[in-house]
Amino acid sequence: MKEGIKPKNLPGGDDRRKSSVPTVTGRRDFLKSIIFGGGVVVTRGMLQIREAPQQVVERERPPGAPPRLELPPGRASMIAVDLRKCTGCRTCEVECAKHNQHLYSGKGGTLGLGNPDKARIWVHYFNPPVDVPNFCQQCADRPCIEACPVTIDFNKEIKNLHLNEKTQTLVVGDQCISCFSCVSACYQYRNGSLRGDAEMRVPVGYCTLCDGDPVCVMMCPHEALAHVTAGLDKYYARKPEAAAKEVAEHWYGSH
Amino acid sequence: MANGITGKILEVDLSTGSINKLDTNIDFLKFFGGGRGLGVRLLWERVRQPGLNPFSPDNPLMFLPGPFSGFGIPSASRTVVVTKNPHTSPISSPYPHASTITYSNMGGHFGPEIKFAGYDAIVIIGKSSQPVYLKIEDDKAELCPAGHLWGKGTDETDKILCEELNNPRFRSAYIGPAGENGVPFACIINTSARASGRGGTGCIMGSKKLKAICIRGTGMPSAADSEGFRQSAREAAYAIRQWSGYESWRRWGTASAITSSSDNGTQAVRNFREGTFPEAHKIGAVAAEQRLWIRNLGCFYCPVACRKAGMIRSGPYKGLTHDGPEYETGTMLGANCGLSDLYALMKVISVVDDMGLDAISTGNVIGFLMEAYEKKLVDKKFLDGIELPWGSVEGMLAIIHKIAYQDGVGKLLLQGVRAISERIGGDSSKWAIHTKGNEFAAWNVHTSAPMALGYGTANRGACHLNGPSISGQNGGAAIDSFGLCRFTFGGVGLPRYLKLLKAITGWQWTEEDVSTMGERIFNLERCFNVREGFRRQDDYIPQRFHSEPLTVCSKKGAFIPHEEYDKLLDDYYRQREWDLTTGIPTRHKLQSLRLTFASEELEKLGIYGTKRE
Repeated sequence: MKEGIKPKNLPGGDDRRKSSVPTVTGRRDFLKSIIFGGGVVVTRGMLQIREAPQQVVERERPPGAPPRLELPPGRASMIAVDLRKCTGCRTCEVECAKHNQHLYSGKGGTLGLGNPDKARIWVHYFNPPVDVPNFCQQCADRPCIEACPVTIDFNKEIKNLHLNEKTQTLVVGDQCISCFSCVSACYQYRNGSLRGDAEMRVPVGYCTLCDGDPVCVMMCPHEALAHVTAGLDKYYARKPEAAAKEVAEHWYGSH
Repeated sequence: MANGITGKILEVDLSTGSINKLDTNIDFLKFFGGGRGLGVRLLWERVRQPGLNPFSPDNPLMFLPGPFSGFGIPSASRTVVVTKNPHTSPISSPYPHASTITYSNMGGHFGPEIKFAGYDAIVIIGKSSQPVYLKIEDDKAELCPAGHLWGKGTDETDKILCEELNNPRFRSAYIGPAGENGVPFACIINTSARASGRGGTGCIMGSKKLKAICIRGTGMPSAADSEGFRQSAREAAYAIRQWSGYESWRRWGTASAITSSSDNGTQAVRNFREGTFPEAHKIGAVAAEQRLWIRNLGCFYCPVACRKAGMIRSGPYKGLTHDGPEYETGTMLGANCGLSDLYALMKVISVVDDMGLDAISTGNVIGFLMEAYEKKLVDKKFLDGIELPWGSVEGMLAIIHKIAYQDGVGKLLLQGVRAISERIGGDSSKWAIHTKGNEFAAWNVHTSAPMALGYGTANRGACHLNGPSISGQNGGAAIDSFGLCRFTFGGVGLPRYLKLLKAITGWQWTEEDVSTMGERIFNLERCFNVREGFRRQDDYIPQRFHSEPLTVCSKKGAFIPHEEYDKLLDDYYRQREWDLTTGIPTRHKLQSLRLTFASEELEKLGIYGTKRE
């Protein structure tokens, strides 16, 4: 892991919560309650207006699934998790892999059967019993992009790891030198959802929101995931161990 | 990997340390499915002589997922563990170590991971000289030292393994001190308290000095028809969400039966003396939801998530976190022992799970001892200073400790109710509630002779999952061979599963094919037992059910006349085409099920021709 690759805008660069734990209110209060610890404020040099995801694929939704999120133009979005509801069943893993496996592996044509290893979302099991789905949370300040040493457009200052203009999710350009600095940055500063693929020699595991209608959200049988709008000046990613510890303390007390 | 199957079986010889990848016999899968069926077929092949000592290094311990395992299907999460049973024995046999087969089912995430790693089964043979754990990562498998884990409870073992493996993608199954210490009803636990509970699988694992198996896989079996699979899988996932049982299974799990079974007079209460527990509501699902439960836990790809974890909020056990109660654990350690304090019950369940003991047999043994204590057939001195009135938590915890550590009187207690009753005498054999040496579970039988027959005819000794009907028994064997969960099976339904089977493996099976396969599995298990010396006389139930009618509640007066049971057994043997006197499957029946190799073996051993002494 390279020393000194620290996103310049990050205060402190650690995972400690800046605010206290918000009390869990009613079941309806999904958005407020899910983010234990709240987001960490990030100062940005320049605020970018982001385009909303344009392409939305219509799907046959399972009974009880939430409707597709309709976003106003220019609104960034992400997937949020209600850690009280996750049962650790890993339906999200299978569905993500089914939908995204061909993108993940770069080998087109093979329909995904749902190999959880190839999912972007991985559920971490903890004892005392807490399950934490871990995935790319679309950090506003993108430490992964900051860390990328390869610039592919010097005029527009675009790195090889950059954002898709329409979806505002990560894209790996074809000039990746397999240094995995992005992976290190994600692991060190955020939740380690970005992984290195040894076979393909590129970073994988970043969430592309399934073209604006995330399948994990649609298929979660326990309403633990939601597609929500994201703060432009916050990041929500935290290490699964830290999230698990906090939930365990909330549920089981400290021992 | 071929379609739906990996084509490889991982064989680990703990005596030599050698690890081999064997080719899966595809015919075995075609006729026996996988899971429990593949297990009995492999056991038959590997255990060539009757009377093998279950503690022998030659007794194979096998972990078997099914053809659905590894795919996102509700709920294809189950693994069956098959080995020769250390706890059962026939009434008479030429072999001192005669015992039945054992097949034990567990949920969680272990079975799918075996397929992800690239195996149709894991077969453990031999014995290690030192405690080890088996670590499998795709095609890499190694034995790691487990001295630092040996002696630890299952909970601490789970925590240490999580840290040591340092990789959240591992799934682990492990034993506790009971398995290490050779308790015949020790179990295997995976992922916080899912148990391969019955039949002593943990005992065999401990006898091999194997503390845990940790497995991680990055691959996946292929499907014959990928698009067909995706469609059928989506159909199945959507169908179960509209199933009539969906909401209540999600909310209550099996705990709702703690009160409903009591209302119907079918609960095991105070050593099966009664079928109704007046205080069942104190330990039932509603009480648990109000006072205990915090979250649901789901097995692989299961939309129901029927397991509940909770925390004790007050009292001497405040702060204890554990899964449950479920119907079996809550009844056997609760109603059956006269324990009506929910928090104390959860403490006992957590200790039983931590020791790695079968909660069902343990609860049955303790209930038996409590009755013996009440009737003064055992006393405090006999129990090494332990007082054991009904509902005594201190007594229960002390007895559990004695059993798990083979300490003092524990050496007798771990042998089960049959052995204990033989020692203490009196009329205790009438209320030693077992068949073939395996203890009955939480469904009491005074009100149902067919349910009693289910216990009497189960191939691993008394088993509540066997069921009262032949078609149910065969069907259950088939479900156990597919890697599927019995609880959610009805939510998807056999026709959808058959579509999935075709999409995955390419096999076009009808409902009749499935039923025949189930019957085949059941008969081969029976042949295994017959070869050991089990006969009709081993298919009976304890005298209590014949001579002590229920005295409490709506089913007052219920009992099973001996003649009625006899007649049911006659009808059962006739329908199954087994010999009426001996209970041995006829040659004709075995041939019709393509089990000629089994009938030839029984022939060779003179079993068809001999009269029993």
